[in-house]
Amino acid sequence: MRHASSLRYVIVWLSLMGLALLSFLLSGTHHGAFDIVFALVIALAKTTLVALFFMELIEHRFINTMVVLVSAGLITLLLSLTVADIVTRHTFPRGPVPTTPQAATR
Amino acid sequence: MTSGTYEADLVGVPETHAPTDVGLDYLRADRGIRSWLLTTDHKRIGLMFYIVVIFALILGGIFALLLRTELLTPERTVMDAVTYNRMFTLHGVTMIWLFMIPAIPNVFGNFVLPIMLGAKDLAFPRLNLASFYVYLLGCVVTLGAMIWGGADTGWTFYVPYSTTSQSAVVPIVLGIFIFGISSIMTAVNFIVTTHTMRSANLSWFRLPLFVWALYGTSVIMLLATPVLGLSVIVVALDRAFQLGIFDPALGGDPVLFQHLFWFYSHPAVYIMILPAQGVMSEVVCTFSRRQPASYGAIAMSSLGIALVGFGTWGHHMFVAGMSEFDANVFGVLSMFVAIFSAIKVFTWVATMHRGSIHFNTPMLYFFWFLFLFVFGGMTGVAVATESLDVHWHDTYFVVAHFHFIMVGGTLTGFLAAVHYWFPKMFGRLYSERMGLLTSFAVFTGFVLTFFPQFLLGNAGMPRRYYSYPARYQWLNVLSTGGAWLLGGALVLTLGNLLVALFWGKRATANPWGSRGYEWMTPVLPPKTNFASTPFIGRGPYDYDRPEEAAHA
Amino acid sequence: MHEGPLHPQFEDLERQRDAARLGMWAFLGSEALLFTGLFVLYAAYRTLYPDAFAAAASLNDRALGTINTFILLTSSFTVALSVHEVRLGRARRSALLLLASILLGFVFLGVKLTEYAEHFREGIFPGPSYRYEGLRGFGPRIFFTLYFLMTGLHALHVIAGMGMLAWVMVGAWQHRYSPLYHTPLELGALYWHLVDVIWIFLWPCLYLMHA
Repeated sequence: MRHASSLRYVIVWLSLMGLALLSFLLSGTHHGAFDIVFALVIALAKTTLVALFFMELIEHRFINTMVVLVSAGLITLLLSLTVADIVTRHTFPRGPVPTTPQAATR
Repeated sequence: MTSGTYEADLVGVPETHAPTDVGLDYLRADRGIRSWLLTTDHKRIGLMFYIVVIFALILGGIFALLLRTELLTPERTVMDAVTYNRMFTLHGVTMIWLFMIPAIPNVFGNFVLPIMLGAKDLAFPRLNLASFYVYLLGCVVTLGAMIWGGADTGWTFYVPYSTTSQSAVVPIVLGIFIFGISSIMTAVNFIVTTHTMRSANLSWFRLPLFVWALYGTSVIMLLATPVLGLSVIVVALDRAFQLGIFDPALGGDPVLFQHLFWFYSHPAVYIMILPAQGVMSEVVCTFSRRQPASYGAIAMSSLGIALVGFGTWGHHMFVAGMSEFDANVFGVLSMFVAIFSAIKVFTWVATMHRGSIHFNTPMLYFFWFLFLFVFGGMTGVAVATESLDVHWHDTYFVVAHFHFIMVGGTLTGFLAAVHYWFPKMFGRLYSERMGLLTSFAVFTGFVLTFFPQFLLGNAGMPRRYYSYPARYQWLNVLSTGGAWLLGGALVLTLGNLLVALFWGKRATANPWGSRGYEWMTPVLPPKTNFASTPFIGRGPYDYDRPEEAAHA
Repeated sequence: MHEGPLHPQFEDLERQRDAARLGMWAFLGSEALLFTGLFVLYAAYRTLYPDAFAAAASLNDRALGTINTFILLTSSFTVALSVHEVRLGRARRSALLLLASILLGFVFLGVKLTEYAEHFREGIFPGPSYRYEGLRGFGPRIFFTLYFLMTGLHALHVIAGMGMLAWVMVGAWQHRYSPLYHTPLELGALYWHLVDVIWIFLWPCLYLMHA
């Protein structure tokens, strides 16, 4: 079996730390809606690095990557259609929330 | 290929020297209670699931009969309203998680999947046994909660009622969480087994169609079940610590719970129906003596249903306050499932064309299945249409629709499998005459129970109501009568099979003349299924080859 | 050099290893969907209460959160190196790297507990006990309920992962694994990396997207 050199792990680790630092620094300066986009893109990049090199998807059989892709697709589906519901919900605008006795006791 | 060279390619073990080479059959290979309770043999674990699942069906059936008896009259008949509310919750929970989810995959999937793949066992036999005991623990917890008093929320546990109801919601949802763990264990096992345990030369497109159905089912179980687990655990935590995370009075959104709940519970319908479709694919080919009209169409539509089924959960929420945009998306996506289902129906029907049809009990169940599945499916398309759903939502129309799919689909699939694989599992033949008779009775009882419910729903009778106006009574009486007929027919079916189990005629290795791989084993498969890894040199539906070539 | 046990249902060691890996990946997929449920609640409520969520996120200590990110990333690195070392036949070094990873796991949990303690001192509790005066309203309450649910569930996974790493560490120290057979070590490592990946998403959601 072929072995990658330990240098590869060091490079991936340093890239991960660098990306985390970048994410941290970007969060200090505000870019409006792009805050979330930057943070999520960097998180996805880090996940890809961990999955490919630490979890060795790049060397495993493709079916293991397939599990990741199908799971990621379903996660996207669940997130997007649920958030889409909240975003596009115009029919019943959220009115003032009634204060019930129950709410007061909680 | 001539039949002479063909014989050499056949699945493993010629029966002539089977006993010396492969040892005793799986029922006699080891003796003693310990050898059963601690077995890792997939066939024995399948049988243990079989026993518990039958008890679950009986229990859920008793709940159903009590419910129907209560609805015989508009007033109190046998129970008070509180008991009634708990009873329909328990009926739903028992039938779904104790019976339908594990029924076909864990019993018949467990038994035949490794044999169909030419493997000695599943990839993780101990995980398989663990899955059984986790399931059993789930049963104990859930049944304990029932004795504790049970819940009155319905099997859907909708917030905010489930977080405020005074009944025993927490133990029941814990039981459901435990069932989920068992489901995931089985799903991991089946997926890995299908990928890594196929015998040499058994390519994906030579797999029996039941394997494709189990594979699609396992994908759903693996990736949808954790979301259910999370949603019910959040309900339990909410009750324990008054988190109020879904409470509108605290800024929460109860519709979000429904999103999470249905992300599992809609695909769960396909966990129930896909294995039944897989059974039917086997049955229709065997008893028509024909290869499927299109193998690829059935195999791919199993995967199609599994994946598209994930994108349809919102059609349960059209009137729940979900946005119109989402409702449109979910309405359209729901229609795609109908396309895949129709592909299967047409392919089954085309398979029978010019086939040599044998009217055995499993085949008769296939015909019932065909009718009920099409009828239930078409009404499903109807309720997935937003404008119509507004009228039918939460009425008996929906109850009738999903019972047509679940009972008409899953239960007939289960009963077809029970009869079809009976000779392989127990080495005996059931009485065909009684089988056909009980099958007719099951169908008649079923239609009588649920067809009136379509009319009730359309006339506006809401589901889960304890009482109703007198004008609905004649339909309710019909439905209750049908339920008792259905219950009686199922008891007769069980009796017929128990008689066969002890006194039935000895079966041959392949009583149906099937070309399926599982029928190539001896009458009762030996403990390790095969003496050595079989070399499978043909497809599972090669009915065009001569009989003697297919059965060495 | 031993090749490990071949279970009777398998034909050869390679298929057995592939089966174990695929089984672990399938389980990790399932775990990811478990956390997705909470991420869905977070995303939906953030859409409903964007400002309140941003304000609430700034009550979390960004520095401590970032330190914890560095800790978990480093622990993933040491776990990956440990697999690398056992493949080179250096089982003892592999075990020591696992020990380092477990210790980093303890540090992570320690930091997390410090944060919890600080929140409790200020009156930031999940659900009905939330009584922090500086930030009132539905949004912050829901944010912190989700914060405790998400980090709590993650912490449970950290503890489970540390347990697995401890198990394979003992195995590695006792030379139970060889360059030809170290599947349990690989599986434990995969699980630990998943714990890391989940934190990679929790961290920006709960700390970085602040007002």
